[in-house]
Amino acid sequence: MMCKGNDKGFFTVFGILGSIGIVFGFMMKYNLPESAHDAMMASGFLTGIGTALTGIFLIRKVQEKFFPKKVEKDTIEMNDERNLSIKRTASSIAWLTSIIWLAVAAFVLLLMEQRMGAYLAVGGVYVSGIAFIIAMKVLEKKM
Amino acid sequence: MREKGGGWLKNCMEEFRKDRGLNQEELAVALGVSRQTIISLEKGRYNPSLQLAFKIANYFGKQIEDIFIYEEEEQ
Repeated sequence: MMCKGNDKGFFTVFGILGSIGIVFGFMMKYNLPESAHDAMMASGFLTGIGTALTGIFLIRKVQEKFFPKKVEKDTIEMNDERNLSIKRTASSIAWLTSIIWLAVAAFVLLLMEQRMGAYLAVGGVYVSGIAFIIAMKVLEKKM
Repeated sequence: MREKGGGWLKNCMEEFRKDRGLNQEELAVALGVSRQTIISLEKGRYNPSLQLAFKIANYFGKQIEDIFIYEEEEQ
């Protein structure tokens, strides 16, 4: 079932992705010329996300070591079917909001003559629509 | 909770729990769900999955229909 299952693996993925983010962020930062401001910003962004993910992974490891009861309670909360159902409904609403936001952004960007931004926003709408159709088809076959 | 197709799903979970002398937290731990789920189930705000309904019935040593009662809406 979606979102349900081994949360140890879930946090390990956080740790791995976080470490990769930090390494790539630093590699980008020290290999880019000083003039590449936007790429520098992207490297900082990558390092920041990597640090956050690694931080979450480390906090989880500390909790597992020193507060096993809390981890057990968190796991129950995470796998609780009512919580999963709430999360799914909230995700659907968030997804719909993002689509509307992207569509509005595309329109506004086009009015501002920012074609590239508008194309990216429209692309976002199409990608999520395609992902929705694929996910639906896969789930239809599974259920 | 009212089902989309009309009708209601009622349950007697609270009575069975009280008969056993359990509080909501204890029942939640025994069933492996959150306390909030037990509260919502007892208040009829949430309908459990078939899996959880079986788990609850097995825990109380009853049949599902002893605990959960589906009432059709009268046309």
